[in-house]
Amino acid sequence: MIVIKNLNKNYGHHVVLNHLSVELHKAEIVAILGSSGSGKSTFLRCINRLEEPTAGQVWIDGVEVTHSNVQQLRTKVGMVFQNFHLFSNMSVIQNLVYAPQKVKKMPESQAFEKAQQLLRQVGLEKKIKAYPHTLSGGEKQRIAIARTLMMDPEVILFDEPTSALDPEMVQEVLRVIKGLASTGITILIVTHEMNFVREVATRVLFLDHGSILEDQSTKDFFDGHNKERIAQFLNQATSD
Amino acid sequence: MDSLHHFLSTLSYVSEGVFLTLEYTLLSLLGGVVLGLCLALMKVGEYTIARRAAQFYTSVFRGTPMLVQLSIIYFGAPSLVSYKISPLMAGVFAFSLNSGAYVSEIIRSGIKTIDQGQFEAAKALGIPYSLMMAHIILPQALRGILPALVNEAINLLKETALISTLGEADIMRRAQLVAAETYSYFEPLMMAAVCYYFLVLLLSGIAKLLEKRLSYDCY
Repeated sequence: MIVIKNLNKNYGHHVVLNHLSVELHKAEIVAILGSSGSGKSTFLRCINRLEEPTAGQVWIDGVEVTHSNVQQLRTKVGMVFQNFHLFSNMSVIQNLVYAPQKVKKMPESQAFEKAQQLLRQVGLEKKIKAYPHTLSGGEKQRIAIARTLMMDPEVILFDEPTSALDPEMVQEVLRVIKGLASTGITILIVTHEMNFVREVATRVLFLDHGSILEDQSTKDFFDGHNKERIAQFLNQATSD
Repeated sequence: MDSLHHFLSTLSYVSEGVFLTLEYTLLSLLGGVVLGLCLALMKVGEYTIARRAAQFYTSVFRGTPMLVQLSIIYFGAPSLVSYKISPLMAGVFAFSLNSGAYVSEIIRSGIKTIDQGQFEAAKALGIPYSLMMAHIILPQALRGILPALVNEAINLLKETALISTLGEADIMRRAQLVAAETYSYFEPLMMAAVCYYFLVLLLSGIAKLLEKRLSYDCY
């Protein structure tokens, strides 16, 4: 379980996250929605400490990870980025096995076996020896997801995983993420894919100016919202 | 016939200096790259004191002439510490210190060109800083900075001609000796220039092969 207490992030005088508190439970699929600049990505980045929070605490499974235990945090919390960020000097298989071998000391044979299994899962077993520059955006993102799964994370943070993709590649990535929803991994996803949110997410956090404006089950969020700000957002998001 | 014989013997004598020139160049290059790498890591690291120290070092060694640095190390320092330093040690030491300053800037700029996402992906996977630099960032940076590093190696090779001021029998010194003996400067100095030029061509050729090996097309 992840507990976030009073998370604050400021850049100078600009407040990006404003006393944000939330509890996230195991196996939840949480969609984080909000307009640009509402603090969605910063929220994810503060959870795995790619950004240091200005104040507040993040607890994972009862361990406070805000100021120490960053290694422990990152073995439990994986992250998938908008722009994939595959290591461009490494082949697909090297991208997958490097961190488990070096960080988790996974034996080589086990790492290779796991990598092959995950590549099959994301439908890219034929790309095992390819280098990132030869892959399409959708393929890169599926490899990036497989690379994150190699570390057996309890939580995966998806930061707009389909925003940099052509429309026809979006579905192939969303299919892979959907496949993870039933595996018991907790997922936090920042996305603008409303159909995906309706279909897969179990809970929605709506952020506005760095605060949680709404925290509801997906059904309640789409059916029963009564806030003008959210109606405005949904109208825009569904008309895009 | 005599003049041909004289030409060949001069060429042979001058070109024997190639080995010494190469010895100085390769040892200094090794020292310069090791030192430059350390300085570059200090410059991109998070410790302010280390960063400032590396910047100060670079500013001093780029801001003073190579000949002055070499002279301080060979002629000046021994008088302070009462220890006679060999020309080879002084030369390699001075060239390495000087080259390290330039190489550090080349490597630093190479690291800065790497997409921030590569650092973040490594961090997010829990990869320690040292491994991230060694296996992910520096190999990518090297591809971009190789031409600049080759330039630095070429500069270093040409700068080793300064060891002739310490009396070392490198290409330049040998050409000067022949010139002083025969009172003819053009021929031996041209031979020295040709020797340096061929060494530079050799270095550039090796660099091209390396560049090809490191290019994405080879993956």
